[in-house]
Amino acid sequence: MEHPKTNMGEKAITLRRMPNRRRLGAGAMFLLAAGALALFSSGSQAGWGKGSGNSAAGVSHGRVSAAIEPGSIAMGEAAILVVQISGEQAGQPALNPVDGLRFYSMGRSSQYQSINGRVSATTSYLFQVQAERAGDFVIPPVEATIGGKIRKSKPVTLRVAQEASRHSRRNVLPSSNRLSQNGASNYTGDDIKKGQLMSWEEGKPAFLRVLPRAGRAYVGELLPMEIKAYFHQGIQATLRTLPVIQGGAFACRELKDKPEQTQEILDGIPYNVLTWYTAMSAVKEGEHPVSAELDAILGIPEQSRRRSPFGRGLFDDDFFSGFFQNTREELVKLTNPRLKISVLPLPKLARPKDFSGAVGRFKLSATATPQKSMVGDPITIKMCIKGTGNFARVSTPVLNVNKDWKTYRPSASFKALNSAGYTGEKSFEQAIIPMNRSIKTVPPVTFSYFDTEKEQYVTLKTKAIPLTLTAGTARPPATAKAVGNVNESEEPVQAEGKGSGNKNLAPIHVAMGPTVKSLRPLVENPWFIGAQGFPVGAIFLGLFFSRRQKKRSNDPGIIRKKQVKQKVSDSIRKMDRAITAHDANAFFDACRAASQEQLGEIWGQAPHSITLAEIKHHLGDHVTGIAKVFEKADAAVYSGESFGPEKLQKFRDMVVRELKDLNHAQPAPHH
Amino acid sequence: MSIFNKSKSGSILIFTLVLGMMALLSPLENTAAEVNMGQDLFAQGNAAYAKGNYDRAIVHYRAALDREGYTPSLLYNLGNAYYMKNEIGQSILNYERALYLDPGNADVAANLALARKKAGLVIPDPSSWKVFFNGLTLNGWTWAGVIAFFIFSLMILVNGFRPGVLKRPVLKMMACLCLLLFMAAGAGMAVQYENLNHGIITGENARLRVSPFDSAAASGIVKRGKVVNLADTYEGYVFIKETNGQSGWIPEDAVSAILPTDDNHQTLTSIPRSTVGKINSGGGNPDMNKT
Repeated sequence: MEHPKTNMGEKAITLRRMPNRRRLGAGAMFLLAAGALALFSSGSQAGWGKGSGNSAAGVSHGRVSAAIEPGSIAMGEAAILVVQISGEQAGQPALNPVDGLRFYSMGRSSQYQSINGRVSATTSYLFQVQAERAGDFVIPPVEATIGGKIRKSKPVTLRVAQEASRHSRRNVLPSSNRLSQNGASNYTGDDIKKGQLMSWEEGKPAFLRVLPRAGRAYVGELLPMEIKAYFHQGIQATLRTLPVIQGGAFACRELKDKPEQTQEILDGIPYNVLTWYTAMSAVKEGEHPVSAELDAILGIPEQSRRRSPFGRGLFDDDFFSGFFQNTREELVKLTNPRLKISVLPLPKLARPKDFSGAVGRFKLSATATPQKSMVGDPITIKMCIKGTGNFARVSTPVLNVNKDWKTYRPSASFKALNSAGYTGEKSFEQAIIPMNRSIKTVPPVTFSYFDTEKEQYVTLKTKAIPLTLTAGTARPPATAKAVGNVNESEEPVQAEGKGSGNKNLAPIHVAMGPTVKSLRPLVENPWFIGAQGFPVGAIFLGLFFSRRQKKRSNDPGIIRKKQVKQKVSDSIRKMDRAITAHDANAFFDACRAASQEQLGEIWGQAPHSITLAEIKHHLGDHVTGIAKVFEKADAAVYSGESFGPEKLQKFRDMVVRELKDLNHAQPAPHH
Repeated sequence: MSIFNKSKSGSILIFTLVLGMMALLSPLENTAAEVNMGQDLFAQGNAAYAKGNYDRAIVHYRAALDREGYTPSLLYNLGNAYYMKNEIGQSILNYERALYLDPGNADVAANLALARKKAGLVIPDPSSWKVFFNGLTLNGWTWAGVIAFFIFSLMILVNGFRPGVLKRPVLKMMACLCLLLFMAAGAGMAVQYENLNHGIITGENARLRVSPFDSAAASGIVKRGKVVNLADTYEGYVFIKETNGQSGWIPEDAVSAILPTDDNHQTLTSIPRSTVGKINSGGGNPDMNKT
């Protein structure tokens, strides 16, 4: 099933006629199942339904059978005729025309069977049968050529009643006779149930619905509304107009050319639906009818009754039926039954003075920039009203300013948040100029509207916005003094004379503001470009040091040096502690350890392997201090010689100095 | 004697200090006087405007411009005065300059739109990202980028001396933010920089010529107030490119760059970037350019 398509120019909706499987599914499946059962019941000659076909002796001989379901329908409904043809080299069935009935091909299905190498096929052809009048009809035998011989089915009967019953309208088909009927009485939007056809819509190929969100509204309230045009699937439709709302008590928004296209099933019948979303505003109180009209051309499919004198034609196939299907075009005016909407007056009691006619539900917010300014400098107040309602009647919120302010004319902009335009936000921007340094706040902004849910007037008020003012540079009073009484007016400076016709032009500024000597951009100043060298240099420097640090942290020689340095420092601290504690042995141990660590690192030897003899051998007379310490250490251990703190301090300084010298010089070991 | 000597040297010292102070303060006084004079000129311009004397208002505004430099309000008022004089090209030029200095100014934007409408020019709505980047001036984005870059470089430098500093979550996040801001500022600068070579057609029905000579064939007419790209100059002609792709040479007195490269406030005109020649006049009223 194709979706309806709307063309740009003609608003044409094309609905290709195709078998409606949903609608006919139950009957067709039942008949197909019965046919299959008959086929597989070997030797059985029992048919199905009323018209079991010729009592063929076997499948090899071929047979034609026809059945109709249901056998009794009402006007506007449809029955399904199933013709089964079994046998080899079977042709298509030929239906004889019946006065008062129309046949629509719905397609076919085939089954193949092979028994002992003998292949036979059964093909089921489905036809939709529509009655043009009530009465009993006999569908004559259906003929088909099987294996070069013409076979016939038995005739089947169909009873068509005059009135349609609500419980049996599953196969309701469009009828041109019903297009213009509109027997429904007034209704309200609540009467329409989702997924159900209303009584006045039954049997119609197309109809219109107007669905307001509520059955009542206040004067001025914007009432959201959907206008839906339903087209029976399988029907081609071309819109000649957009829906037109009838009813002088309402003002409706312009509809969009491109409606939303969906599919809906009402009482089991699928429809292609075009939906326009709009909103209408009540202009006078009372109970008023609302209806809509839509002109469309419907293309209703017809089965060709001509029979080819040459038998089966080249295009007598379901595949081509879509291309060569005859359609009957009918111009129709779709209307909906009158819909009643109660319009209530807005209460006069407690109506705020600043009420401008806004009806709905709104929220108000306001901001001011800058909040730190100078006297005489303009401050922009942005006010935003969000919500749902008639934004056309939403006027600028009231800014309660006194003589200390100058105000400019506000500008307004509206941004709709839905297609119908009843939800959105309206923004106002107003420039105001503080003329007095004692002003501490931007005064609150108020907005009044009628709340449709609370059913009362509501006044929204923002908080005062704190403001910090400094003495102005422009000195509006001084300006006025300099030029006369130009700025004494409360209004912003507007031009007089020949140009005063330009009302929309925002007025001139009274404050000059801070100046710049040049418009030349900063990026083109050489000093500025040069200054960028500093951060670039810093990045390079940082990356260099970072890399160096990383390298150093991974170098074993540097790590070793650091460790030795640390150990030497530790030993020197131990030496100091030993001096303080008058512990000569500990002092010399620390001295020896420091010397061994340092020399071991320089010579690339294990510190503990360095002895006095080795020191003398390597350094000769260069490090007499260290050698002396080694000697004294031995003396202290073996001879018990005692050393005073001064002496120890002297040794300490000597050793530290020599270690430092060694560290700087780092002489190569004498080998 | 010694006391006398001391008091004498003290007097000399005080005298020198006073002289020095006076020498230092005298430029400040002059500057303050100039500012006041500029303000007065501005106020006189406003007064003339209010009385409907737009020629005089323009004279005063230009004089204020010469003395004090550019301010959005001054350029805006000048644009208004030109608008009222029906010199739409000059009006649009000054509004554009005002908007360059103060991109968020609603008055300027509104009047610019009005002037464009009056000139029959249609400017397509800019995309939302362009609106975002137009929220700051070129200098604003430049400063934002420089500050972000400076902080980032400082962090890299510190990390060089104290490895691992940037591994701290707060500093890492800060570095990322700086980089993001730097990139955003770069994009903002790129968007704003596009406008630097723009100019406004100030001459009435300026003829586009296929080559920079008076005898060259005309290839079209450009409406006044139109924004064009100034690509090159040659001996009194400027090569312009329109947004619709049309290009050609136009007399230099029929076009003015939005951002003048020279700081000559008197003429309020400029040399197009990457060009050789010079545009001498802002077009419109020649008398006004002589102030």
